[in-house]
Amino acid sequence: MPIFGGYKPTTAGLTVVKELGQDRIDIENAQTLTFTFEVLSEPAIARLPAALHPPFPPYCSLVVRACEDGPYGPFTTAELRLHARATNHYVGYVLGGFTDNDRVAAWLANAYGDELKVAETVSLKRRHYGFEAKVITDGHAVLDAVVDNPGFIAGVDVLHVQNSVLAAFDGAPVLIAEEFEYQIKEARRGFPHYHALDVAAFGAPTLAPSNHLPTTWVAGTWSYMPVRFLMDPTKPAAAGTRKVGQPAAV
Amino acid sequence: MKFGIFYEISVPRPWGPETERQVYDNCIEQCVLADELGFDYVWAVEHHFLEEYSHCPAPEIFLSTVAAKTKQIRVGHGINVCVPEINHPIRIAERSAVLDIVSHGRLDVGTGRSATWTELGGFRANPDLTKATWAEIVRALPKMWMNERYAHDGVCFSMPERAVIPKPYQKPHPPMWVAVTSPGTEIDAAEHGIGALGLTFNDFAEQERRVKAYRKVIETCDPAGAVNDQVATVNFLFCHEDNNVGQQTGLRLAGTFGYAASQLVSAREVYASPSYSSFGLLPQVRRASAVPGEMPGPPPGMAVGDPKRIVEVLKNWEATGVDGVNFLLNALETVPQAEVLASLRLFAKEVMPAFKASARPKTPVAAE
Repeated sequence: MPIFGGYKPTTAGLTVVKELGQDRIDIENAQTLTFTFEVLSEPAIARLPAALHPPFPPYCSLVVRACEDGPYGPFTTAELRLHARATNHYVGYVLGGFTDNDRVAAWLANAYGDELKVAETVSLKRRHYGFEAKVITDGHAVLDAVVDNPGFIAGVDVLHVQNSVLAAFDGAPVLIAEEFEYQIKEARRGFPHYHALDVAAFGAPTLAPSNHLPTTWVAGTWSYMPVRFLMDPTKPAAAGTRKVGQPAAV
Repeated sequence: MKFGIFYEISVPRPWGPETERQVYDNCIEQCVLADELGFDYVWAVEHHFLEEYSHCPAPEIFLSTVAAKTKQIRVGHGINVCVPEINHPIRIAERSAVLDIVSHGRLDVGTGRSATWTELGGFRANPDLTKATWAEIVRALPKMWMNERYAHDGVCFSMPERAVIPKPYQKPHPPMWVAVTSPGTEIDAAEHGIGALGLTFNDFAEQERRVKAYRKVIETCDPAGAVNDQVATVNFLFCHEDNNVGQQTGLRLAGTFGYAASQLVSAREVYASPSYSSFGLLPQVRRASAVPGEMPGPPPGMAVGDPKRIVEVLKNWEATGVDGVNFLLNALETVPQAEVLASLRLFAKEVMPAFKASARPKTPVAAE
């Protein structure tokens, strides 16, 4: 059988979720820039919870999302995810991230367990040459990247995988399925140029980026969905997944 | 209807010193039995780096061994990856010709372009270009085989005039196929006049629609070489006297296959490109399989159960217009070898007679 992750978490240090997000929040005119790169297998396997499988090759996506408006005002987030499989389903296991809006940080933490640090700059800009993404925290650029001259592609060619967020809920560690829906109006693709990419600052000190893939940019409506599923991070997903409202298996 | 067996050659962890040898030995034993039982084809994939899912990067060597141990069954190289970073087209032509010769004209040549980033990225191939390189190579191969000498000045490769030798035993050349995973590739097959080697688990209605579209287009094709007007599909096979045992074992096989397949990184997943609008096998295996224990019964198109059920299933596939079905017999050795062999024997005894004998001559095609 496939390899399982090597990390068996406890609740120590995890964001505590009291009430899982049950509202659908639609945000129009959202832009999402996704950087993708491979990482080496052994540290990736060690970083994944035991419920998840690493794909081959393991890879990360760094997702920068800029929303002109929302229930907590305009905001931009930048999250690093280590991609994995829950049985045969694709998930992006969230390692860490930043936002420029403290109300949004609180909303995503309360609803999904996302642990986003508030940074002085988290930005995604459309430039005449393409796109530019920056995250500056404590005066230090942890992401500074551009995508030059991206070409047009079809929105249907771009795939966004759901988040899987490790948090504490009901006194136990859980993987919360943070699901999205999206309607893409415009999509581009190009290769990234990094001036700064500090994955350690995003919670992944052991993962070294290698073999960079094309970056995608999409614009459209982005919807944060109610939580439907929880997973025991210490058990295989086939045994440890439950619907919200159902008791955890003993 | 023609029946074939299809190998990914999946190898379960833990990988001890004997694991891969044992799996290869099991597969070869199955091929020898399939030959004795009257199966028409054995197909073997070309995959690289696909941990557990497929340890079959050199199918021409596996198929050479099979050819040496069998008499009738055709050997299908399914497929050659027609991406220059992975296979130079001259080497595809040369290897195919040798395999056709040593098998005394029993080779079918599959072509394709890989559906995973695991493979394409490993060879630093550009996913945007694989459709074009496939088309260029597929048109060059028959010329390398049929012309005494050949020169090529193309986009993905070029060569000065040389004699690409040896020439295949079958004349003008072995039947050619393309692996069909993405929607629309069956049309590419028809336009090139080559067979559509289905590698996805469509439902009956979708398969019928694809076969009709293929037949319509191939009538007016611009053939790459000799026309091979055939459509095959793929399925799981587990045949047992007890329908419930057959279905449950077959579901375990399908579920294990789907589980292993989903651990790969498809090109579609990480490299947004119009060249890869499909996940390949994954959506189909998700529908055809599920987490073990969750599925109430097999899908209507899955050839698992007792002979009576499998005959019904295959009659439905035959009604879609396909010319043949190729079966996956195992995945990660989840079915013990003795049960795989028993399943093949029961299928040959109880299921095969319900279908017309293969139109393909059992004896090798004579060279001119």
